[in-house]
Amino acid sequence: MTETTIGLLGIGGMFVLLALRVPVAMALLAAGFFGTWALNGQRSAVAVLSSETFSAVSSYSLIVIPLFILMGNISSAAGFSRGLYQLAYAWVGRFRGGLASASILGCAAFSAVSGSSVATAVTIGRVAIPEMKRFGYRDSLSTGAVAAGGTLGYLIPPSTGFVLYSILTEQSLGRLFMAGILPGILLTALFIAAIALITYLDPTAGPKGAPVAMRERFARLFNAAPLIAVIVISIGGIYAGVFTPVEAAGVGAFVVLVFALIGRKLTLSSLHEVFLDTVKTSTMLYIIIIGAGIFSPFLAFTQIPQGLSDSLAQLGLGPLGTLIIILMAYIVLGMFMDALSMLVITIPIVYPVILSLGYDPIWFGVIAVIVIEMGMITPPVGINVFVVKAISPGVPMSTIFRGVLPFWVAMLVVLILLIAFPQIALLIPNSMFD
Amino acid sequence: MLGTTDTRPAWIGRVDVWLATLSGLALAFMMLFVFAGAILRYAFNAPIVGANEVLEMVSVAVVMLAVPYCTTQDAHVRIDLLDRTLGRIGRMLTDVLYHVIGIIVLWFLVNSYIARALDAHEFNDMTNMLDIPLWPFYGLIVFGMGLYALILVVQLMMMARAVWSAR
Repeated sequence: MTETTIGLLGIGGMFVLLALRVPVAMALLAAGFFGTWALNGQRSAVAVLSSETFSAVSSYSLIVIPLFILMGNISSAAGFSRGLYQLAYAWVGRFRGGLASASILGCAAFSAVSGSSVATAVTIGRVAIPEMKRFGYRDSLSTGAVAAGGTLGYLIPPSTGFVLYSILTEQSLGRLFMAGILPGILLTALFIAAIALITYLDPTAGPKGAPVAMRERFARLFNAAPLIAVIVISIGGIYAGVFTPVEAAGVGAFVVLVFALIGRKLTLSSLHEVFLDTVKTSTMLYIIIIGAGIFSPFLAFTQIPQGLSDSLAQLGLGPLGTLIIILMAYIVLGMFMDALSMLVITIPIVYPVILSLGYDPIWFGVIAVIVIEMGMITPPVGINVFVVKAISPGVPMSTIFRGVLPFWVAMLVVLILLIAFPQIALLIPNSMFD
Repeated sequence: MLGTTDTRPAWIGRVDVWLATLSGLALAFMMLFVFAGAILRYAFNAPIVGANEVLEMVSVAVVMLAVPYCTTQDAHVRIDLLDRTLGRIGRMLTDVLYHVIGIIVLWFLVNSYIARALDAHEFNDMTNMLDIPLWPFYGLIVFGMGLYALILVVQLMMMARAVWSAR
């Protein structure tokens, strides 16, 4: 058997294992381990397995994962996220569709402390959806806004997507975080524009909320101040070059914990739960990273990424045509796979192709994260839609999927804008580091 | 998708939770250490020497002590697209497949780390700056991944017993 045949069998075997409900980490581990064994023998396979495991669990740069997850979990358990939604509500709730816009703004703000789209959708959705129901919002708009808003958690730093992309491609995490800021703001603005358009065409979809007095608005700003301070310290700290991403995560988690303890927002039991949940989620991610760390060298041994790159070049589509094919493949995959799996499985294959096309790896990180975000709200497997369904069980799945459609289009617009104007993603990282 | 079902075998009792609590304490230490390091470095121009090495080793503890809890809580991400199509028996068979593959891969991993820990102990392998011995951390990998494998073995036996009693 040739190296390519073994490689194709390995990739095929991994997809079969994934389809057969084998956890992503174990499917990657098994395909990488047995594939390397078939190519180079048992000794080489065990050596890769052993070295990659220690290098992943003892990696300094990966420490951002548990620390940022901890920061988001403490914020959520302490109820700071509710403050963010209430702040957004106070300022935009009185407009038509304002509560849905407040949900988007709440999601965007919470995304700046949480790297998870699911956590963002759950946290804001629990507060926002009942409120929108109370004001007679159409179910499709309320659930669609929260499901789409949640995806911002994957784009706005600190983002788990960028952390994984940075590990898989060895790109600077600080640059990736900074590259996510403007596209994140742009996407937030387009989500709000989509809500404005929906409520303009059908004013009954999102009636106006109760107006909030100016004094109350500032009171809510004061209430949300701790979390805003954490966002400024951690993300601002990275931009200003004061903190590395690891330091920003540690300082952010510590500061939010202090605020929660001073405000008596956490009991010992809830703190215990926060830490248990954090180590559980972090470990799950680490084991996937170990799997990806074993699968990537196997792919490199097989020369498949190189072969794929050559084949795509031979099609004569040019860089843009090839990129469009890759993005279409991502959109199709997003229908069936969750974000995490898609990222760790596809990046080792696609990344060398992107580099050979001459694209900027930081810019592609943003593109990849957005197109993967689209998969989070695409049927039949849209994790954020499932999350929103769990929060509002009375709303049919088809209604939620219908509701996310305008937001999916908004994401597509951002994707097109980013391809046309890569500076949107690269402006901040370039101004910061170059 | 992220599973949340508690699949804790009876024998493990609350050991997984205790270990995860230790992992949480290690994480709390990590957070305080990073915070202190950043403040000392920027405010007092007095960085902690070898801070990265300490954090790297604590990171091994954070992950490995939580592996059993992550497994008993069924927190490993799966793609459950074919869940309904597979049916109850199909799902059980795929669970068996996962457990068998997992046990084999983890067996190789644990064995390699037993050898690595023994070598590191014998040759006194240490970190570069602070001379922290490496063998206890290789041992933690044996412990965490070994418990992961053991839980998979017990869960496999529980599945077999369930099938046997059903018959």
